[in-house]
Amino acid sequence: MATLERQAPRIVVADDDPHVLKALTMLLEEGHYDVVGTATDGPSAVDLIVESKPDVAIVDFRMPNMTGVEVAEAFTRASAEVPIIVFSAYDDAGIQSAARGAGVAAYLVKGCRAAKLFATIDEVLARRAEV
Amino acid sequence: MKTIEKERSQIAANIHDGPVQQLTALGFAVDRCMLRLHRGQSEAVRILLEDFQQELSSSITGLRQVMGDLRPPILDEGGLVEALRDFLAAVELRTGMQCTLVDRLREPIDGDAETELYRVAQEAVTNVVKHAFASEISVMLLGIGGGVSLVVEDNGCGFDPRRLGFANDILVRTGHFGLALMRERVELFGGRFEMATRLGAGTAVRAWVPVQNDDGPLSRRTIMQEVS
Repeated sequence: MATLERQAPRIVVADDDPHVLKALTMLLEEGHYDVVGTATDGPSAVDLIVESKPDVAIVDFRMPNMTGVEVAEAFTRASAEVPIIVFSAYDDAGIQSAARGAGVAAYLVKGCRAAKLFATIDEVLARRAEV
Repeated sequence: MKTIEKERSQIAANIHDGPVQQLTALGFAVDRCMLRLHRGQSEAVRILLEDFQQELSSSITGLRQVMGDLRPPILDEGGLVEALRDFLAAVELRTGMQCTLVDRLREPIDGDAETELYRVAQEAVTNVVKHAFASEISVMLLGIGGGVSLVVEDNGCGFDPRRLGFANDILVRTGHFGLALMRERVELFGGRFEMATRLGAGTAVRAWVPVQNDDGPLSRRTIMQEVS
């Protein structure tokens, strides 16, 4: 009997720290997500998201030239349908509020466990599917 | 205080860019181990754990460097002269520059003055390493009357001396943060900061800070003349 396999969600990851970028990519792949591209600064992340049209993008808050929140703002302004998860070392209410205002789909603080990361991605994808 | 606030944000940025990122990556790697353990892949976990050991050592080194930047333990244990000797030996090893320490202190100095002078020396030497293209650095400590003078000289490229007349806010805006920080530190401590430079003729930083002394302080003008 044929089984229906879930197609791995396609994800773009952007972080200017090579250790985090590599570790996050490997963890996502281990969790059966398909990392379709990585970027190390804000403008490259925007280009990559436009080009590869992923299901979701995980973007570091503090990157050269453009923050993760500015990346999200760019997509909100363009009414693009790619949800952005901002991933940040700052557990700061002000930044989280700015992120929400910019239309960020979710805000994750660095140091969270894989279960929380995967659950957040799946929740964002489910919300997107409902829309 | 703007310059010192900027220094604090630089320390925060160093912690953000170093240990926080390394530990975040390590946290993800631990999660990968957990996933593999759930799948019964114990040999794969063993290989991952060996990698972590190396990453963990690198994180500890990063944190130790931040600690050392904030307050080198040798400053408390061995005093200013030992701390500077240690710092210069590390600079010499790292850069190949010839670093000399001349100690003409007649007696030990108090902890606060030691910290200020160490910070100024650290900043001045770091500036030389980054910008001066020098092959030699000399650091001298002199006990003068009611204070201690630190002189850091190099044989590097020097810079336009007109920049020395800039106010601190202009120095910070134009990217000469280290120079502004040294000046602010010394002046907040009630001391005096001077630099002398010329294009192609090296740079000399002179900082004087007051210390407790029964002899009574000399006037600052006299002290700076004596150092010169």
